Amino acid sequence: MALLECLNVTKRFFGFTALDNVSLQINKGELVGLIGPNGSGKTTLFNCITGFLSPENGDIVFNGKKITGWAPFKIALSGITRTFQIVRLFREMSVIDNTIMALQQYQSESVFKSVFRFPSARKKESVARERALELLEFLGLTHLKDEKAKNLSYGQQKLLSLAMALMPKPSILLLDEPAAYVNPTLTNKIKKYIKMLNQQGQTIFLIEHNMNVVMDLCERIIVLSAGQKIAEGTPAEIKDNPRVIDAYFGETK
Amino acid sequence: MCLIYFILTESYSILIGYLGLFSLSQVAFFGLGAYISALLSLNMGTQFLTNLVVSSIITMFIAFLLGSQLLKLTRHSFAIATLAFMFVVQLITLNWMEVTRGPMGLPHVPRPNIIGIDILSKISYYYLYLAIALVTFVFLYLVVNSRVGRAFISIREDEALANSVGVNCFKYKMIGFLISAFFASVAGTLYVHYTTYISPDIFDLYFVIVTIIIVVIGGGDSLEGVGIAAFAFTAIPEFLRSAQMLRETVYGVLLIVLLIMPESIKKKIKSLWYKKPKGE
Repeated sequence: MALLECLNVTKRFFGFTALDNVSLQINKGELVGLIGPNGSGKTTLFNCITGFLSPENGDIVFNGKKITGWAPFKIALSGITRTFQIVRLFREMSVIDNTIMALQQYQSESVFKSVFRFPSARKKESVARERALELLEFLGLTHLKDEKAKNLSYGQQKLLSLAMALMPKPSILLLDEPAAYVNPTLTNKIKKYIKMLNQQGQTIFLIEHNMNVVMDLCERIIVLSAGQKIAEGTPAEIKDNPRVIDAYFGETK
Repeated sequence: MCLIYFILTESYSILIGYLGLFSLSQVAFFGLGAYISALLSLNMGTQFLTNLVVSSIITMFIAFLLGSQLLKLTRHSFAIATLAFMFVVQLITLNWMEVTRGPMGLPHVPRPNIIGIDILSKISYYYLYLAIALVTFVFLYLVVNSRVGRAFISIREDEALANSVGVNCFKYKMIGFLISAFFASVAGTLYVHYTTYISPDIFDLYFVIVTIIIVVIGGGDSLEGVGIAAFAFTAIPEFLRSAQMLRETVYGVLLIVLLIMPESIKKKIKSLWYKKPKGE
């Protein structure tokens, strides 16, 4: 059964159709890529899935539940986490606090209990800290844990945002251009991390412009162009698909 | 007076400093708390502590109604709408003659009386208000250093990201708004039982500006800084009374100096406070 399913999702901005009847499925454990020329609606689709935008038509079904129109925080809590195309962090917080922050809302704890420092609240705090340190270790950020997020290099910030998305052990991870604007060495590192995560069973859905990354990583690729899904298949199939080549390089005569 | 400002601005810093919500209705809640307490004690003859609790709860309820609509607005419209709320409250107090006596205000508010002990002397006022201020500070300190405080900061830093890590932004904004309205009203009650008189003049932009100045100079997101700023800015004008002519001028110059170098003062205050490195 599909873990995440988009059914005929349509999103319009003032008459401009950003997503036109897009349907897709992502199964548990898969690593799926979403590609397409600029402005083809990839990020819009992510925003629809995560609740930042609500589609005019169609439904998004996650784990058998309709989540269309839910508030973003509720969707996040139900197990879909994401990173942003342009890194977003809590810039004034330390690296470790950023990661802890990414988990605390998932730990059910009443506001009252945490304000008055009940033992159970403290215990959850230390669980979060442990998990944060584990992830920072995995991504090689341990030495920066007390640094403010804004002082990190762009690449380190990207890794940190990945750590934050991983904190709550999401059922599905949406990555919006994880390798954009970073140097080739780091691109390879990020590629390696994504691969490792997927091998550990993490379901990942990613947008990426870097073809080298997408072709190497993904088992299945979905192509959007002008808001429509024009192709879906294995990397090899996509490479030879004339419609995809048209979308990227213009009509072939 | 210092302590009243202390409570008012400390709770204000939750909104401006931690949540990044530029609310201009803090003085309105302050005045509301003062008016409700005054009316309660004049018409119903209730005691200080009852007033404190009842007026704060009524103010919080009003804040809840207001917040449930206004907190959905974007930052700028929120600031303007909260300012508008203050003027609405002012107009009501000015024109509802039967209840508030309009511009004449409400005189002869009784002095506090706790369990039979009348609080009359300045010293006893001081200790009573100091105790309440301390409770306020401890409570706010616990709030901002808990996960709630971290959620506040996350909303200030990046609301979209806060959302995507599962922070219910509206809920936390509401919590912050209610807490600050509650303590603003507490400060209002203390104020009216100290001056024994309240009039619509309390809803003046002057107070709005002074409270904002205190919060901003105190560094916004540091309760200690805001506390020190609150004391400094209510104490300095008093000291300067000895030089009447220069008073306003010196105050103005001081303000400009402080505004030009707020960063360094913030850091100095912080370094005094955080001598030992933060523990794990």
